[in-house]
Amino acid sequence: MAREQALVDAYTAALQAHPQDAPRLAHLLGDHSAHLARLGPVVGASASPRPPARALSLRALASRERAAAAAHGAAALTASRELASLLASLAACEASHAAVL
Amino acid sequence: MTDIGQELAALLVDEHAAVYAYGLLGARLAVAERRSARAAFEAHRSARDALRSQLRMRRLDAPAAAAAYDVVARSPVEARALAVRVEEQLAVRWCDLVATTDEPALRRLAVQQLQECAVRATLWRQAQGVPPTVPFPGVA
Repeated sequence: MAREQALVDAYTAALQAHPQDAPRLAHLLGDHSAHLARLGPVVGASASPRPPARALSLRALASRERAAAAAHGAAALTASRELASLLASLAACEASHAAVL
Repeated sequence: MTDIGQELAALLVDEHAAVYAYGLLGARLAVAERRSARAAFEAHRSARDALRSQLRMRRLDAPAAAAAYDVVARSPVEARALAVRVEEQLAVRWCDLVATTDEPALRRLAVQQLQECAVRATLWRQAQGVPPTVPFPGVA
C-alpha cells in the first residue's frame, strides 16, 4: 500500500514536471490509482497526509517501477493464494510500466 | 489429474498455441518487429519446455501440440493484435497458476512468466498505438 501510494505521489509530481509526457504519465498514474483502490480493502489501510513528492526523471520513475515489480513479485512468492495473484499482477503491471518509460 | 496437473496441462496447450501463433505472425511484420516476434517465439518455447518438465516430474501426460491452430494474421495490424491476444490469454493462465500452487519454484515460474507476458503485451499494444498498459495483467 505504501509503495503504491509513493508511486501515485511520484507520478503526480512528474506530471507537473514533464508536461510533454502528460498523456503517457497520466495513463500510468491511472493504473497505480487502480492498484491503491484494490489494495485498500485488502490490507485495511487508508491514506494519510503526506508532503509533496519530489519530481523524478522518467529514468528514475522507471527505476522505481522496477523496484516495485521486484518487491511485489517477491511478496507474491510467500503470500496467501488469493493475495499472491493480486501481488503478481501488480508486479506485472509495474514491469510493463518500466518497459514504456 | 490433480488441480495443479490440469492447470499445467492447460497452460501447456496455450503455450503450444503461442509458439504456433508467433511462427505465423512474425512473417507479417517488418524486420524490426519481426525480431521482437522471434524473441517472443523463443520465450514461449522455453515456457513450453518448462511446463513439459513440470508435468514429467509429476508423472503426468503432457498434451502434444496440435497440427494447426485457428489463428489469422493477414497484415501487420492483425499480427500485432494476435500477439496481444496471445500474451493476454497466457497472462491469465499464469496468474491462475499463482493462485493454484503453494510450491515456491512453481509460483516463482508463474510470477516470472506473468511479468514477461504482460511486458510483451504492453510493447505490442504500444506498437499498435493503443494505451499500452492495463492495471491488472492476468486478472480476467
